[in-house]
Amino acid sequence: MTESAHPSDPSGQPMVHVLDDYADFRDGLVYSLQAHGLDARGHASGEAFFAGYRWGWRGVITLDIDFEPPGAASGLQIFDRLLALRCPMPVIFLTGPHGHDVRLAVSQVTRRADVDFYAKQTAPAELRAAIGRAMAREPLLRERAEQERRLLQIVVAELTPAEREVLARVLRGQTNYGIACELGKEEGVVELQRASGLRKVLGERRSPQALVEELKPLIDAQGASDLVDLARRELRERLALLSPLQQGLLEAALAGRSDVQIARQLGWHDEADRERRWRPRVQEALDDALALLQARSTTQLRRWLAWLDQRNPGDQGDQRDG
Amino acid sequence: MSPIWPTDPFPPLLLGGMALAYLLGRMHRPHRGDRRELPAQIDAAPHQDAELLREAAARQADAQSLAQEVAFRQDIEESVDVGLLVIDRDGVLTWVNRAFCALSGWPREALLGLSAPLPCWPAPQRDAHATELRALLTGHAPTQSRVIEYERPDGSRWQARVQVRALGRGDGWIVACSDVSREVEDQRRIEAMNELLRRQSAVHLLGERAGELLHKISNHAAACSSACDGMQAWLQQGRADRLADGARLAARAAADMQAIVERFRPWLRAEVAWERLALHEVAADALAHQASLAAVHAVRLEQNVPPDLPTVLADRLALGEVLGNLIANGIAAMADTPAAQRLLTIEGLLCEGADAVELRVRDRGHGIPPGLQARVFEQGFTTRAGGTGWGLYICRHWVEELGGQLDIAHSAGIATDGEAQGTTLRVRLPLHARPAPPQADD
Repeated sequence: MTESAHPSDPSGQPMVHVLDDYADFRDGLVYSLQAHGLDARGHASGEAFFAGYRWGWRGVITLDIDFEPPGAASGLQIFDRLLALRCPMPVIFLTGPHGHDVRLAVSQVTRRADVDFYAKQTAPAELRAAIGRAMAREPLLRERAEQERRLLQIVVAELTPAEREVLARVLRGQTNYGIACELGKEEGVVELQRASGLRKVLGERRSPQALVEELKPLIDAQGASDLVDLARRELRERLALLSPLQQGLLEAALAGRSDVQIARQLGWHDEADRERRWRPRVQEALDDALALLQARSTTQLRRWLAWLDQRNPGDQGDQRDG
Repeated sequence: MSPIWPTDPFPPLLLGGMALAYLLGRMHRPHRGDRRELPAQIDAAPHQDAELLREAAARQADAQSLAQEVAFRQDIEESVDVGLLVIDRDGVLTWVNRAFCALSGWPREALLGLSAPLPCWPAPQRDAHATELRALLTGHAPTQSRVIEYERPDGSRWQARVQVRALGRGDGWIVACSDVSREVEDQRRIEAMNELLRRQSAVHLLGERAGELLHKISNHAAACSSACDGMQAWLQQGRADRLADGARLAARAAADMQAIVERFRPWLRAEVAWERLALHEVAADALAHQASLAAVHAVRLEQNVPPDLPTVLADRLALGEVLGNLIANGIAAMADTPAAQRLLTIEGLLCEGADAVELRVRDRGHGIPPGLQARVFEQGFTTRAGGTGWGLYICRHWVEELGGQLDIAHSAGIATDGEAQGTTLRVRLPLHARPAPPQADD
């Protein structure tokens, strides 16, 4: 397990992520899983897990429901975060000897997603079998999640606002002429925007029918009213993932502050540090925050925020303005 | 005054008797107007009058005894403290006794002649009451008594145990209500007292610790069994090189279990195991025990107990438990402190006069408001959600068992560094005085 405690790159390879605050239990389970040919890695807390978490991680998560030190993220909070990140890894909850915890967990969680519950005293073979089943389920979940994420990214990041407006109306079955009249544009412009929008979403297989098939389920699944609403919701959700620190960081970056200024603001700056170790730290934190938003750059983020503001001039994005 | 029974039945009866006599006299005269019989009639008249008078007197006596009886019943009825309601076949309230009026606070005039909904039904339950009354009127009288709620004119509520009986030949129902509000309250008080007893009992304390124990042990036991399971699997694959890891894990889990047992031992032991202790070692052990908790909360731990402090005579496990508790409290108190300032220190110093040593556990948390400083050592007092309020109480108990004192240091006595004042708890242990008779260990 020492060699797996810090794997060079955990992404790509399916593995069991063991989230548990009891070092003994964590290491024991990791060891036993490795002995049975499963790659496994232990995480001491939700904070530690999410600090390293990348979208590309694959496999299964076993999650202790009652993290002992009060104050750390509890099992359910960790699970909520996983849901918010749309993490497709199946979760297996492990519970202590308190029957109460199990009931609590079952009542709070089962309504929301398909998860398994096992007591920690469960025989190792049984637990392994459950992990195996979850592992088998993972590729399908992963594929679905990837597909959804790809489409959402196209809708949010690749389509221009004008294209979104046009495609939203194409989805409604409006003609180019009707769309042009409604948006006050030239019909030729609408024609072009529609074509380029369709190409971005569908590639070569461009037809209104295919567009409906592709986007309608997504819009419905996210509870959005149309394509524009979908983009707005998705952006809001992404912004909600940011921690207060990340929000401050991005605000500073958007305001055009330099790395040094940001480092000073966050108290990371150290005059005595000749190697300027704070610089990569700021860069890394910025990259992490942008990755969480799935934004390529602060420029793109600025465009998104401008669009959100312009869509709802009265409604100040609660995540952004602080 | 009852509308059914006149209080004094005598005058009407007398009048009735006289009227009857008059009528009888009239009837005799025209119908039996035979002149021949007239003298006989005249002769008989005084005789008849005497009979009538006798009858009148007899009826009068009957009526009097009846009136007495009624007054007697009425007195009984008015003197019982069970509220009585009479509901007729149409659901109209025809009678209410004094007790009901007193209990419910409604005057009799306000209730008599009313039908559903009655003003003494609390608004939220009005429908339920109405349904019940309807069921009653259609012949579904509940056979068992139930507790229902009534409302007073001032809006307060009272609970009544209600029993319904059919009246006479089905021309109504009598509803008897006894006030059980006080019973309910008494019950509650008894339960509260039981709860207090339960909380105060050592058995419960042990139970709580046992739950914690169970949780910890089950974790380590599961770790142990996982490690063994893994070792078997590696063995089957002929990978002897991986066995060492598993053996180490299993051994560590077993050692941790052993440590837990050791740590919990003082709770099961009544007497103090005296031994000479180097305080810097005890402090280091206590900090090590809480290191993982501190790591999770991003709290730095610092120990500043000089190794050259004189040793004290104390109980290692009890003192360790006290320090561990104080450290855990301090860590919890710093939840709102900026992460960079979360620092918990243990200092050790020799007190003035060199007759005692002091350990100071200091956090940089929100501090204890002066008003609460006296109360934090009370049993059952807690400011933390989910706290039992036992920690400091037991800590003080243990320290006093060891002949020392546990208190909160006044902020004047400690170094201040800006905002994060925090709390400092002082454990003062005597150097020479031994509070209890020496044990066999030295």
